Formats: sequence, structure tokens, C-alpha cells
Amino acid sequence: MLDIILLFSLGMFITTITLSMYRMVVGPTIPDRMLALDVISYGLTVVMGIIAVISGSPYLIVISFSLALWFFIGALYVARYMEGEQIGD
Amino acid sequence: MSGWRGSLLGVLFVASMSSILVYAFLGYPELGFVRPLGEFYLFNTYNFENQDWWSASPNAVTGLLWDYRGYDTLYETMVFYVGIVAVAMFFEGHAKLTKTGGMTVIVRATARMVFVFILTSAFAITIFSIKTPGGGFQGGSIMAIAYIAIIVALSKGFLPEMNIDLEKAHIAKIIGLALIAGLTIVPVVYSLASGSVAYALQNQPKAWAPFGYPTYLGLTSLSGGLIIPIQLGEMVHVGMGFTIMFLLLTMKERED
Amino acid sequence: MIATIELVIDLLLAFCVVLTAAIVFTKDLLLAVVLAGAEGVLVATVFYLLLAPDIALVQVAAGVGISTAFFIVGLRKIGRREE
Repeated sequence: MLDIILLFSLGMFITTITLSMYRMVVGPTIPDRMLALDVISYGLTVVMGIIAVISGSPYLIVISFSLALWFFIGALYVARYMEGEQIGD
Repeated sequence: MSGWRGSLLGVLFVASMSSILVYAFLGYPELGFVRPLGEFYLFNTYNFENQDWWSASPNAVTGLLWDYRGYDTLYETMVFYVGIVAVAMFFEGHAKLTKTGGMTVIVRATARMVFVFILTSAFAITIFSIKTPGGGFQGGSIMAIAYIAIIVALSKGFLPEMNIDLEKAHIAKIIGLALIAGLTIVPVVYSLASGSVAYALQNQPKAWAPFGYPTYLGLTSLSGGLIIPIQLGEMVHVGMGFTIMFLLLTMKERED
Repeated sequence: MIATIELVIDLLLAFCVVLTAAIVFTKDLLLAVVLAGAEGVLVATVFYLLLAPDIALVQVAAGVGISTAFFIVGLRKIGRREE
């Protein structure tokens, strides 16, 4: 039962990532693409966690835990640039 | 070089580079195949029945660090140090940490909270690197990301409130380097003092060279010799180095 | 299972080629920086699927967190549009 749920959610997240990749390539403005990159990143984090659970290896879950902490930072840089301020002030 | 000629050159460049990469990928062994390097690792660096050669660390990358790959890491550290010294020489003198607004209050509060989480995960990745994936350079990059997030979301002037400025960052970096250097030459000093054989960068005792750092932490937990202190020194060096570079690059080149 | 992982790796690398072409041809340098960050994330996923979590950690930390910051600081100095 758990295997079926895991595989189903894996497929759902891979579909999400694929759709977001389309938006990242086509999306007309920069914020569109940045949000698409955020969705891709968090989807990949969940996919890495699901792969770690399926394969039963605790070494693979470490990376998905810690990666989720700083994926948002690229959006922070771009937002700071588009505010028109000097970085660091 | 304008118009269709530039586009054609770009297409040719991308096509040739990707074909070279595909050709390089064809020579890889299959996934799941134990390569000769892996066999060497299994026989030598983490083999409980062959403790003459092991390095007492279950993680392959950090297990190879001292007894097998020490000089590699040493020269990487030296290259990084020289790069930071060059950047600091170019931009020194403009270093002024002024406090200004920063971003909105939501981003500022979030950045302060996430700073603690990121710094904690940097220390965890570094300290537990003898068992789980990680290491000094990884932890240092993550530490630099924590400080860069603070600089971008709040401002440069917020750093002195956290007891970090350029001088203190330089001092912390040099303390990390001195830790690495001191642990490197301790076996040589021991060898000169006692008359027995010991090598620079030696971690675990060998049959003919009895000097070694402690193998076990407590009774059963593997300590990996002194891999943890050298990783901590590398982490402080890399993290503070990236922070100094980012601070110096964001300085205004002239007052206006 | 191994064949599936190989297929996924091939698809990710093909998408990386598409992103590289977009980075080369675009005139908007901020867009190029964003796409380079996306490519860093995809390459980190390839490293993860090849069971090298160490390299994936340093790839995401340096490729998304640090080099993007340096590029954007540079863009603030030289301007966003390429001639």
C-alpha cells in the first residue's frame, strides 16, 4: 500500500516538475521563470526524499533536508536586483 | 561577428561541445559496476581486518582525506587562500559597513530565522562528515550562503551587530588555517622528538609508523582520527573567505 | 530500475543542452543568470542520481547560492542589457 502511495506521489511531483520546466523555458517575464525555478527546486527536494524512502537508504535523505533551506535564496537575489537597489545596502 | 554569423558560431559551439560531452559519456562503466577504485577503497581504507591501511571513517570521500588525499586538499586550500588575498589587496581601503534599510520586514524576519537553520546545517554537515555525505568545503559554502543571505536581506551594516566585520573574518580564517597547519606538522615534531617514523599528514598508525591520532571517540564510535578538526578548520576558512569576497565586491568603487 | 535512472539522466542532460543554448543566445543578462541557476539545480539532480550526494551538495551551494550572488553583483555594475 505504501509503495503504491509513494509511486503515485513520485509521479505527481515529476509531472509538476515537467510542467514547471515548460514555464521556465517559455515564461514571458523574469519573475515567472524565477517562480518556476522555485517550484522545480522544491519538487526535486520532495523527489529526492521519496527516492531515499523507496531505496531505504538514510544517507540520501540528508541532502534533501538541507537543500530545502537555501533554494529560496536565488529568488531573494533577483528580487533585490529588481527593486533597483544596490546589493548589500 | 553580427547577425547570422554570430548565431551560426553559437550553434556550432554548442553542437561541438555537446557532442564531445556525449562521446565522453559513452566511455563510462555501467551503473552499479564496482570500479577498481571502489575495490581499492573497500580493501584498504575501511577494512576492519586490515587496520594497517585504514583511515577509520565509513564515508568514502572523507575517509580518503588524510592518509590518501591530504596533499590534494592542502594545495586546494592554498589556491583558495591566495585568491582571497588577491581580492582583498585590490579592494581594501573601501571597506565601510554602513547600515541602511534592507528589504521588507517579512523578508528580514525570515532571513534571520533561516540564518540560524542554515548555519546549524553547515556545522552538522561538517561535523558528521565521517559518516554522512558532506565535508569541509560543503559546510563552508553553506556557511557563506547564510552570511550572504543576511547581507542581501538586511544590509552590510547588520554584520557588526552579529560580531562579524572584515577584520574579525580575516582573523577567523587565519585561525582555521593555523589549525590545519598545526595538525599537519604534529607527527613530524613527534618523529623528530622520539626517533620513530612518522609522516606529515599522517592520520592513523601504520605497522612501521606507530604515531596516530585517536581512532575511537569514547569506546565504540569511530572518530576518523582528527578528520573532524581539519574539516572544521576548512569550513571556517572557506565560509569566511567567500563572505569576505562578497563583502569586498559589493563595496562602491567610488563615492557618489 | 537502472535503465529508468539512465533515461532520466539522459533527459536531464538534454534539457541542460537546451538551457545552455538559451543562455548563449539571450540578450538579457539577468535571464541568463536565472537560467544558469536552473542548470545548476538540474546538474545537482544528475549528481544525486549518480549516487554522489557530496558533489550534489557543493554543486547546489556554489552554483545556486554563491555564483548567482556574484553574477548579480556584477550585473548591478555593468547593466542588464547586452548590446
